[in-house]
Amino acid sequence: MGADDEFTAFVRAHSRELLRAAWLLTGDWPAAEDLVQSALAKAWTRWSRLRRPEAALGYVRRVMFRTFLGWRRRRWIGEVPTELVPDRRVELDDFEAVDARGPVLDLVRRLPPGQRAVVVLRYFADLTEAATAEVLGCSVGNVKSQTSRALAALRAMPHVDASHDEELL
Amino acid sequence: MSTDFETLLRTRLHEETPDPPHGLDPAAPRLRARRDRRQFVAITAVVLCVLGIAIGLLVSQGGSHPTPPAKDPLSSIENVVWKDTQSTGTVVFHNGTMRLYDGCSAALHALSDSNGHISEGRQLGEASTCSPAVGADFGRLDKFYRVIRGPAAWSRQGSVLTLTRPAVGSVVLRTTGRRALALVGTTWQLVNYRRAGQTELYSGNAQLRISPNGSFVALGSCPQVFGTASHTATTITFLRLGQRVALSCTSVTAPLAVSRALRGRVTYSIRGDELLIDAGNRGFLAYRAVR
Repeated sequence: MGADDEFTAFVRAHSRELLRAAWLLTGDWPAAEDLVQSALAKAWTRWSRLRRPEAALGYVRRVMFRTFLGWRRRRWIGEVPTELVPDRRVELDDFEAVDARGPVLDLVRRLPPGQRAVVVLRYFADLTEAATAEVLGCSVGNVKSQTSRALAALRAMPHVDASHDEELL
Repeated sequence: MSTDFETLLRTRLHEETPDPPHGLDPAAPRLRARRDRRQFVAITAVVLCVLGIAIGLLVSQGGSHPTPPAKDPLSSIENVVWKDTQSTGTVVFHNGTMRLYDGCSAALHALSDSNGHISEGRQLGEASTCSPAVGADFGRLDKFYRVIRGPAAWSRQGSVLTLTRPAVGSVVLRTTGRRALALVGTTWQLVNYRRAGQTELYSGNAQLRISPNGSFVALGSCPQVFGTASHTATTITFLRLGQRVALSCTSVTAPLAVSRALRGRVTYSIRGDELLIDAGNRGFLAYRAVR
């Protein structure tokens, strides 16, 4: 199997999972797709060194999350202002997009980007604290503290109370 | 260990996160990678071009400096006072002139330089003389003047300048390296003011300073005058722009006479540390340099 075929297979196998994680981070599909494509494009340039699927997935995830945090730090996501509204590629209309969000997702998006990234990695991608730290390029202690703060924030948000966890979650 | 809250969070995140509206085209990341690479190459090329142009400009500016004119060999002996080791004669070379002073007589001549030989050129200003000083060794001064009149070969070694004129001999001059007094940039203190037919000593604290930018100010006198001044090797032309008379000026007769002298064209000479200004019928002023 050539590199092209391997890469195609990789994209087909993992793009859904990556896109969903990116959607949790960014909150909309165009931005999520842009984020995943950025990460995959970088992965493609290094594909010869990322033949092992698990290594490739880890690399793409690392690039994706760090790119997301970099976007937030720079307050710039590479969008180009245009005079005309570009064609919409997303098939969901705005109402459907809102409807698609559950209450938990709305709460997650209220978290700061760093805590949101930790929550997505720990509870959506099901990574360990060590793996999360490796993806984000920080210490395990940092992941623990971010996780703790994120959970506390989620519990403290309106309509979220530890005594009603089951009801609300 | 996961708490119930964490377990529920995990479950709901998986359940509530929707599927993407469409799959990702596997070719898209490759196209994007190519586009990114082209952009990188283009940006790198632009940056390298700009850097290259900047470096080129710097190099060309550095290389396009006109070749400096050959340094005037006399510049190495200019603007310092050379004192004859055998007599009271001194000479200052400055801007194509030769200023001689022996403690009594002073003269200013043009200086010609040819093939490493200097010669006394035409006289630029009137030579001033004084009564022969008692004990002055005119024999040694005579040799100083005869050698320096030239053409004399010169050579400098450190603080020693040797002038040699065939058939006359050599004089050895030394310098302390102290910069010779120049009309411009020196503060001159008035020490004597005379007018034809009378002797008048002005005891006021009057100073004169001509700045390199061409302005002059006569300080400390009542009134104070200021304006612009241009000069040649022997003349100064004062253009008065204004004067200030302070209320504290009680007696202004003599000071006014001094200030009137500094008007229009006057002749001057520098003798040692003295500046002598001859304003014709408006008077004669002697200044001494204030170091």
